[in-house]
Amino acid sequence: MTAETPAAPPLDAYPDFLSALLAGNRHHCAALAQHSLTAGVPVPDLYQQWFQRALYRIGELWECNQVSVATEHLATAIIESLLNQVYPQIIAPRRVGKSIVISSVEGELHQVGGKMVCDIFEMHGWDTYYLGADTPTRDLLRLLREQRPNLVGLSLSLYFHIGVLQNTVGAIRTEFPDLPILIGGQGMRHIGSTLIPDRAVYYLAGLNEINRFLAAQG
Amino acid sequence: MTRDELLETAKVLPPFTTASAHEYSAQREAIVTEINQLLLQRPDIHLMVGASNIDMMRDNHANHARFVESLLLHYSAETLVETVLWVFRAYRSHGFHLTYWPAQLNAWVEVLRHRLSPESFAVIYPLYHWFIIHIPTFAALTDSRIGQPAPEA
Repeated sequence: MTAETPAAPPLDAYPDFLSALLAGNRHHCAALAQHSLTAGVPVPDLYQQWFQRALYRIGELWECNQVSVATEHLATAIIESLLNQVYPQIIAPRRVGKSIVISSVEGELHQVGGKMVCDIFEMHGWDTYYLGADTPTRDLLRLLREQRPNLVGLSLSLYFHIGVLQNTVGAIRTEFPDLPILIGGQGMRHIGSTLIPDRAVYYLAGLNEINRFLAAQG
Repeated sequence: MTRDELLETAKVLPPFTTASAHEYSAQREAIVTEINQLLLQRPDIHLMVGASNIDMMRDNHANHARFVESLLLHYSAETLVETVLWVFRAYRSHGFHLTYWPAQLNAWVEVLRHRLSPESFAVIYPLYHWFIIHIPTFAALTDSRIGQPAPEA
């Protein structure tokens, strides 16, 4: 009698997922993602170890001229469709009565990271308003007046939007002096913790810091 | 020179002033327009960037100016080194030749010298001096990646 070979952890299928993503095989990507969730992989792990990891890898492949911009866009579109596929499975039945508005800053076209952050907050029972990419600052302020969230999150993938981020935080602070603001994104990974000296501006270096932030808020 | 040694040189650049940053920002679009005009006048531009890469070159000039603008406002040596090496890897992989960068950076210096006040030019020039003198280092640190598949994580 021999011991059964244990099944490989679902996340070990990452190479298969990346290959399917590069091939534009949305159906296979969706099946792999759903299989992982059904097997019990936590959503944040799927987001970080598959979706985020794959997008960074595709960026490296473009850098080496191994894939085109079109392939990058296709992969991003597939990932965004998978986030929508996962969404109904992450809504927490118990709501905490708090809300967050999340947006990429004006001019910033990258938006997948902000969407993932939104989903993590949803899992914690928050109501989320996800604005996506390139929200004009004046329209963001208008939405904040309308929704009166408990928290606002600003995402920035490219370093040269730093000035826009600083101006956006300044504009929010002028009208909402006590509103806590989360900032995050690849563009500030070397400077995020010191960028804005404001007691109510919190830099999150990654998805795995959201739980720590929420725990500290009580 | 290693990457860490390059980073140490970037950490000791003299600080930039808010006034020079704002002046650069106000002139940014005009500077980029003039840079594009200067380089496109060169009969050898296609040899330097590759025949099908003129639009990519224009994008690089626009992004360079936006990047420098951000550096002047909130300087980060780590971001500078990381970004410059990324630019060299990415653009060389897409067909840009090493001859492009001396031509481009000398054009930036020429344009900044007459577009900025003497005071602002004096503050900002050390950054471009750093770019120019370290071109061989940028090339050496990225040589091994050119024409090669992206390394596995």
